[in-house]
Amino acid sequence: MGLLSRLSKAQRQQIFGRFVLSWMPTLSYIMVAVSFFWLLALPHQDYSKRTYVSENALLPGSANVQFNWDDNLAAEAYRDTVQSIASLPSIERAQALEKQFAAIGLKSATQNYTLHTSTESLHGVNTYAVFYAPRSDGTEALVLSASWLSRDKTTNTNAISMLLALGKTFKRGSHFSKDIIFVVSDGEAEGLQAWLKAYHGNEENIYEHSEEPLRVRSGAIQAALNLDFAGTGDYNALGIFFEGVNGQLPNLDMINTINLISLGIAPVELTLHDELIPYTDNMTKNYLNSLRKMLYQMKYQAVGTPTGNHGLYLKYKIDAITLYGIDRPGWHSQRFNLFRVGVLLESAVRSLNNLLEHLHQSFFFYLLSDVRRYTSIGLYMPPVIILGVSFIFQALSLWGLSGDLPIELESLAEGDKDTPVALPYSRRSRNFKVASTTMGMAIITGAATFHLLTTEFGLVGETPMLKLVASVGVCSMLVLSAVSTAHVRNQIIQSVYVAQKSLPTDIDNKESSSCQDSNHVVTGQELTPAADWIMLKTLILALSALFVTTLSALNFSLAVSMGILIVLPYMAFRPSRWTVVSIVEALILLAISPPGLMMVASWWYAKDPSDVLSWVLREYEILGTWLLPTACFIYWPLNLAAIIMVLLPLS
Amino acid sequence: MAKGSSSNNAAAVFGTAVAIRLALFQFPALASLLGERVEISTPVTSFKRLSEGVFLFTNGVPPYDGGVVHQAPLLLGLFYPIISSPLLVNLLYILSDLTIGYMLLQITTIKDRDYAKEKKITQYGGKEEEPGMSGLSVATLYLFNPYTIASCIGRSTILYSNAAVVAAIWMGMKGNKTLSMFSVAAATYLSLYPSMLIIPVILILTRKINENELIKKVAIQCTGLFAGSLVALFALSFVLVNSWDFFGSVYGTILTVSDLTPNLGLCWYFFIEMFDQFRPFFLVVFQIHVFIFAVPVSIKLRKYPLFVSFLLCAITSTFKGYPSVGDASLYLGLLPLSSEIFKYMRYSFLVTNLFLYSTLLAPIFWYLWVYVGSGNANFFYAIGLVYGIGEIILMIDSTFALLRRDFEAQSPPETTGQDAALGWDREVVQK
Repeated sequence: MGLLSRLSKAQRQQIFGRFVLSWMPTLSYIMVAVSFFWLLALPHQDYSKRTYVSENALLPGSANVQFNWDDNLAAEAYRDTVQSIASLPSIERAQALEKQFAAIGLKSATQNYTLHTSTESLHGVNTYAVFYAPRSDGTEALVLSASWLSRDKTTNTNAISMLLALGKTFKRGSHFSKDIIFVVSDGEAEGLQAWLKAYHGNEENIYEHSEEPLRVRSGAIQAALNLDFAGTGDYNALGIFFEGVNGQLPNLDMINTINLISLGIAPVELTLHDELIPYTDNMTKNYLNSLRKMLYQMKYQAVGTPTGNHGLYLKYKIDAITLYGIDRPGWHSQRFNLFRVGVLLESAVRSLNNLLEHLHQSFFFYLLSDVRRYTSIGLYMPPVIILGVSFIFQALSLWGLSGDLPIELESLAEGDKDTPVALPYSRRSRNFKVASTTMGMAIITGAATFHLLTTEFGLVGETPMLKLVASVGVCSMLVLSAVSTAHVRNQIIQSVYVAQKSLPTDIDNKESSSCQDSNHVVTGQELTPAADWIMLKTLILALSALFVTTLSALNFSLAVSMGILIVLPYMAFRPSRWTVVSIVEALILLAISPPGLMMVASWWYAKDPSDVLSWVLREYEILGTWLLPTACFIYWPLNLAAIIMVLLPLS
Repeated sequence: MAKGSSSNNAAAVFGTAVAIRLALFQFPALASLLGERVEISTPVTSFKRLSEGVFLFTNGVPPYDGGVVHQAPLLLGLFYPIISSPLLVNLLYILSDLTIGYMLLQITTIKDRDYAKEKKITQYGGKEEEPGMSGLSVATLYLFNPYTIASCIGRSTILYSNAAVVAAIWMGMKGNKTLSMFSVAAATYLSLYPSMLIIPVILILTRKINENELIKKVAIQCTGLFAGSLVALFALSFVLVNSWDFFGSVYGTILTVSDLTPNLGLCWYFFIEMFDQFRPFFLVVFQIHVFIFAVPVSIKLRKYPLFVSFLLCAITSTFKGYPSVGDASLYLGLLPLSSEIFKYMRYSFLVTNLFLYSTLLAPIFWYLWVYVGSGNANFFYAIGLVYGIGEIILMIDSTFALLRRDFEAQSPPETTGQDAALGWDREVVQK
């Protein structure tokens, strides 16, 4: 009795195992659906909480500010000065600005830089000035920065005059315990990048940068505010930009501080980015607005581009945001001028000045659906993990399949007790050679394309587009050779197999004489390893899971967009009996390959594909974004392997 | 003909291994990057610290005074003449790696010869069990293991301790008592923990002896040889640096885990968090934990001394104070010596994934913690735990597989009918 019940338990376990294995693919599709719905639910109000200031030392808006009407007049006077020098060449306007800072009584200097990328070389001059705090030993500093060029490609007049006016105001005060550095940078991102690099000293980079070392210095930068107030007029609202290089985010307390100040001492309307959204109590509209804000953030995080110069500070462990003056005539909120901006900035600087240590209390990982609502990492991480697990489940079921004997499954289904069931050592062995070679070759090809795209060969008529075409050529060569080799090999094996079968063999006789066991009949063909495409697909799915989940720790948005793009094709596609289906699958995979996506992007933004490509290259070379390396070393190899997989022979 | 092609294959494998390492050494930035990764070089194996020690030694400053150098004196002596030439240093590293690969190949050959005499296990369908991996495959698996390559390019000195361990096993297989015991002593001298391996190596030496008396005699002889070699190495060290300071600095640091630089292990975080009054107690607990398995494992698996050496190396790597991927490369190199158990392993997919995830996530979480500042020490330690779980599952799974195969050898299975249908759970039924 005991034996019987145990025996049936053993069988039960086996059947249960089969059941789980056969349901795993379905389960993984259900998990994909769950993950998608979860992601879509994130912007909903119930999933976000109100932000709050976490660092007690900040005390936002509680200090009395000194910025008064006289300072406002000074700012307006500076505005004229800035306007008059704005159109001068870089070097002259930098020197003129240096004089202005010196006239206030700040130690100021200029910095030349030249930056060579593979396509161009950029030159410019930065101006910076340091206010040495009366109460400090010069070990800590805050930065207020503005670049000559605003987001809207006009002169950043108000921001620069604000810097000068604030310098004058701060000079009067004795409250500061941190030095304050004013930086006016040239160019778009490269100016500030050169300044930050020089400030933090030696950093090795494969690209040739040359930036003048800084003559005036201060201590470790604790936090930074980047100003973007274009033009000379008034503003309707203040926009906050916070997304940094490679999706890095500043501590949420930076945003919270501005938030509290804008509610109290310097009342202005605050919003995320440059979009003003009218208040509504319609649930659907609210949801859509939140969704839009979140998508805006995720888009920039995924491509790794910062939404402003603040993003460059984050690379140096300095929390920073950009404040942007939104001028939208006809918008209902009260307009404000430089006076209120000055009060707000001084109050923010006073708050940051209170910091006893680096900002660390509040969140570093968050999604914002509104300037006052955040979704924390605990809520947005599960969907991407679920996505990763669904990949793993698919891989596991294929893995199980590739080890089982076909006969074993059948005999269990029929309940035939006499048919031998495979013992562990007679399971099929898994042949990983083709799969791992293909994957290895795909990764090497990916690395080669990266090398092709980022190296300057010095050939005539060399353009990024041409290099991309060459890369695509290399990739298609890999696909062609892998697929044709596999087909030829398959045909040879088939023909050999047929030839063996047709021979009325001695071998058969020999075998039957040498082993008396009656079972040898079943051993021959069942023990051939599973088809190569199954092993390759297992590998692709396992690696996709690996990359999506590990990448999500670094850059959630990039991981999510990658996961969403590849999850269904990689899970569903397999070689088909009909060549047409396989080819359609390969074409879909081609559409989501990096060049395909580039084409889609250029169509979407109505740009030339070569512009998109040079933009990606530029971002990589100047800012060091990960989009290009991720695409070349991770995404493209997986994609190539998947294309090869769907074109492999079925058996 | 067959012989010729196999030696050609061997030349190809070893040649490629050299080429890859030489090519990677061409990027000094890569070597120094890997050399500074906490996963690859620990305070007791870092090449940087070794260079510092050699520098101090060259300039007549006692190297063990400053608390920076934790490597054995003879290692300083070995590098003293060549440290000024990076090429020679790199070649020494490459050569040591290749030697390990070669010794693994030789060990497999001897093992195959032993196994050829044993009774084969009958498999399903009446076939005999297929032989395990060839020596060349074992060497290939070691030489092209990414951990091995990273450890070699990062110039971790764990390589020399690994070489001594493998040499001890090889000499044991060849039946050379003196050299095998000297190698165990050398490994012990370099990194202390391999002292446990004296048990499996004695088991290897006595594997063909049936008389208990003779085994006892050999064991006593071996212990004597081991102690003698160790004393000789210490004496030589004393002659070299002219003080006994190195004891505290080398073995003291290993045993008291006094340098708490983060690594992949389980200790550093504990000892950072712990109140000082508990430290001695937990030190003893942690260190006993490394050594305590040596005897029971050797008794239970005494028929499989090669597997015992693998298991002890894996246990050391999991629980020692300063583990690195170099330790993993050692036990992952020793595991294929028992390749006949692979088909009984159940969690290979899981283990592979755990190793892959921890390998990728460790530098990522380190980056988040140290460079970006948005993560913290818990992130990195969590990955150390994942890595540890991977190692432990590997040990459990391989031990299960070995015992399972042992069971299969003792009682050949029915291949048809009711019993055969039980598959995996056969032993449950029979007990």
